[in-house]
Amino acid sequence: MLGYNDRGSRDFSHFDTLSTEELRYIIRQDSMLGEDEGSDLDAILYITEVIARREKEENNDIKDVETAWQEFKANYYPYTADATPLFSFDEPATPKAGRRMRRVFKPLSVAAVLALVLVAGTATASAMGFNLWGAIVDWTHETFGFSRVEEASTALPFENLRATLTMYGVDEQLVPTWLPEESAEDMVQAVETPDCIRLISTASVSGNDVSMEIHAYKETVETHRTFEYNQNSIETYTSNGIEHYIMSNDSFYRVVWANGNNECSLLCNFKLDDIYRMIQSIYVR
Amino acid sequence: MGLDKRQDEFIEQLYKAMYYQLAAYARSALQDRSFAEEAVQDTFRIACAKIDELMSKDNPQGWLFVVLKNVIRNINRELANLNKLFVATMTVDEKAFMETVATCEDKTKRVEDTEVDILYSDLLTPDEYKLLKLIVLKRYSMYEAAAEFNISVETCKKRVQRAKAKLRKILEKDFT
Repeated sequence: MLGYNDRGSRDFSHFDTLSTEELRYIIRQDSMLGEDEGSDLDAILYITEVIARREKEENNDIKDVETAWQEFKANYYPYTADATPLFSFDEPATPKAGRRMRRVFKPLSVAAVLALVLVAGTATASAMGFNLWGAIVDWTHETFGFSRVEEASTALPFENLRATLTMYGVDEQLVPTWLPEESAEDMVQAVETPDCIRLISTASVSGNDVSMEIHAYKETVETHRTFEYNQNSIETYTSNGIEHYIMSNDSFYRVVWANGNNECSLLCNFKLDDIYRMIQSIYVR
Repeated sequence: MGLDKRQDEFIEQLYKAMYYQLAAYARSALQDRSFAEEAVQDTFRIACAKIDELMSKDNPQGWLFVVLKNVIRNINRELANLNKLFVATMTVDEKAFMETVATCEDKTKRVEDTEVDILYSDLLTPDEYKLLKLIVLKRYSMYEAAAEFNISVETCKKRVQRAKAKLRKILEKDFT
């Protein structure tokens, strides 16, 4: 009646080969798509089925549906006169909600799958002038990633991101102070997880979005992200003793680097010379 | 305004069929179990509010995911806006702050907590301040914050709305 599993003849079995963290990463990217940017619902349904099944098998302390249903009836069902979300604190007529964050990653239906590799371990403290992470780049045919090898004890552009980093006590120089053209005010989303603070900032430059994502880890956790890139399209650029990896993905460039306990990623469609200058500007005081 | 028996059965069937998948999506997107549970509950609450629309859909599960994504976007946006509010109003006098920290009797009190306490204690009532702090700094879901005050989630939402509006009015800034 409800046609839950009607996915036609499409084969999604390749998602079964991905780890649960990789699937969750795909879901996170999908959740950032805008309202007018259609996501692949059939794929999402398949992926969430896989995740849900694995979580049950692993007994991940997931609340059972009967308990959740009873809680729904007791705490949320009585308040169905208002159709606006609970986390909606402005009056309906209240103004502009701020610039909505635009899609920065390709939608699931078009992009190749992004692989995410998490490695548990310890993180290093940063030191001025050089990268104590001791990060090693593993070149593979399809992906690359950081591997941590030692432990040791992380009206300018991205102004709101800068302020948010200060609020969270992140001292390292992570944010560019120069962009090719003047940018509009950036919008920052901050998400705290038990082991890190995840900041995503998007600014508009001449109608195009440039976005920056910072994972600021709170404790010594060794975590790496893996990005897919076009073969033979990765370049290393060193500034302030820190290696920045520039990779292309269709018409966009992604720059990734590590500084102390912070993993940084910047997505843009600037020219390479502008990207070099932007990287240099990070370390200008 | 409640649901009739047919609508009730429809929602219950849909809830029990889709709960785990929606919860898996929300946990992946929000990376926070409390917010994820609340996002799913809020999605079904909205589904009840729009039951006629939902029951007219050929693909109700797709409709649920669209609503869930909107709920998640709202959570992220509102938390970011409230964060921005806090950041923008950090005008604490450093000397006064250091004096307070040095004389603070609660040795376990975090520096960050002290800084916010100084700033906001005179701007909001104690309950308003505590509520905003739970939501913004402690990352409580609406349900968890409501439980702290022994109030409904709906009342909790209205109190957060009033506190935020009051803060914005007092500070005379537009944080949207």
